[in-house]
Amino acid sequence: MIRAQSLTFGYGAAPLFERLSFDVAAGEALAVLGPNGAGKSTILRLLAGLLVPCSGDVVLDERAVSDLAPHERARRVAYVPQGIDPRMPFTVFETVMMGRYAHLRGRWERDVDREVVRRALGTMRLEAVAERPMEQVSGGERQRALIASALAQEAPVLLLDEPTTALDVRGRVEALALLDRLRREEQRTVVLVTHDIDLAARFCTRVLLLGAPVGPVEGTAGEVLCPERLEAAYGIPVRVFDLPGDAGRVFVPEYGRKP
Amino acid sequence: MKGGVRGAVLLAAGLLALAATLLVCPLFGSRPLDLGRALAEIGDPRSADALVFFQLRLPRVLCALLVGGALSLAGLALQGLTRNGLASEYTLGVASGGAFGAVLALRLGLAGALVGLPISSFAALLGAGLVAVVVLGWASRGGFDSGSLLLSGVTIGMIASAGILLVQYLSDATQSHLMVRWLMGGMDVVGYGALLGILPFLVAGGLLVLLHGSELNQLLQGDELAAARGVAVRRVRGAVLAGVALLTGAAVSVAGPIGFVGLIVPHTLRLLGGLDQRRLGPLAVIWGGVFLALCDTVARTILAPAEIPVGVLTALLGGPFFLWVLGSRRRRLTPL
Repeated sequence: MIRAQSLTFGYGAAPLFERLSFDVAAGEALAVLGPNGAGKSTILRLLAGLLVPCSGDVVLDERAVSDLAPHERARRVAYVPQGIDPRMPFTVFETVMMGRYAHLRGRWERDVDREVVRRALGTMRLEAVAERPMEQVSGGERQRALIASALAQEAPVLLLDEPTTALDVRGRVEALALLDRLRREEQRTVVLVTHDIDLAARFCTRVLLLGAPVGPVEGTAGEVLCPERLEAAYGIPVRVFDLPGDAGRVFVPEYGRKP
Repeated sequence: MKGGVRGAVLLAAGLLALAATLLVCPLFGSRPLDLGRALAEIGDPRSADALVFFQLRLPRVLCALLVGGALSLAGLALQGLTRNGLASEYTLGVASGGAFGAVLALRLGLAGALVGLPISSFAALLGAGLVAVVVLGWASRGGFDSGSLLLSGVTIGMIASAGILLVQYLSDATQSHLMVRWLMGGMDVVGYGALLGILPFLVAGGLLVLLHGSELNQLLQGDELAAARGVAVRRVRGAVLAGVALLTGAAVSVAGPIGFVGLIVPHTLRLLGGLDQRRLGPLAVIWGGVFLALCDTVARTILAPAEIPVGVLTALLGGPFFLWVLGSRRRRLTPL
């Protein structure tokens, strides 16, 4: 369980958001949606303890994130950043093993750690490229390797910043299905930033929509993701269609007439 | 794991090379030496062989081993810290700071010794430490990222170099000659006093770097990822940089600024043994020492009885080598 408690943050004089509060319980997945520059990644980095809020607190298991030592925090929260450096050194296996840092803290890895890493590689379908350098695998494999590295961290809270941008259709659905399974079966807490409204609506129990003129709106996908709110947040009309046979719901922006 | 095997081979070969260096290098010099007699007459004050071997040649080889190991470990750490293969104790100004301290002490004519170290050595230690603190302070204002570390280091190094030129300009010919000779670097130690004097600094600095191997690995993948995985990024950067200052200051204080060891050795080891800083650390210490001891042996025998300053030799070897590294980097995309 992770709680944002009256968070205020801004990079310049004007705050991005003021006194923002929400919590995500164990077994829940929250999607953070909103236009570019609305502060989605900032919220994630605040939750990860990588940014310090101007006021307010992020609370993890009744302890403020700012009070935790870095390795204590990393055992509770794993974070996958957006925009991976394609020149990243080390092999895929070594990169996933680096997710074990909070458990190892300078010790050499043991069989337990190798087993955890192998499982994470298997989950993300990376066994075939495990020994390849990170710079020589595809963008999608690189992104899956970083998710695997976060899984190897074995933290109850998972924060992911646009984890599906480099993934193909199958990879995207698999990644979200995996997060859904971790949430349901292992009672993990998942927070993800995404631009994929369809997948967020289908896989996340709750949605936080930023960028609306009235301020951030939070609730279930059904409550929050209505055409009026999406238009207010993104600034273009969005139409909603229910797919037949409970196959979910798609959100289609108005492209305008064909010229 | 392949990296582990390659590391083990390099380590075993390094230890063999180290033993060979210790035994063979002291035999070279302007005066032929009988190793058997030197060992038999150990401690006998009248034995010329024992005196030359134990009081002149062996300290000199040990000095080269310590200085070479320290400089190459410092270079390795800085390249990891800045994620930049061009970083070394020279690029970051630490060595220039040490040299400035020593040159200033020579100009002021400070003589005498403290704990077995001449005043100029202490001034070098102080200068290197001061530059490290200033670089640290400035980089921390820029958020401690690798870019601000590199830029503030280069700038402060340039200021120190200008200071050296100014002091030289204001000195008379004799002093100036002394300074030039000192700036070329050399291993002119007699006995073990100076080596024992810098040993605590080397041990402390070496441990600060070697114990942060896995943290340096994490920093190679970027500060944000490292922080998210639980690395105390600022504390690690501070500790490793302090280690670099101790290593560089101590090395420069006895041997003068010796360039390129901190570039050649780590880059070669990376090409042969992979990127894992936990393995590279001990390898850099061993191979850096062996490399400098061999350079020093060549420097004092190739034009015997004259001696080439060893700093000139490492730079003459290091320059072309580094160009080669730069050329072969085109194949690799990673920053190192």
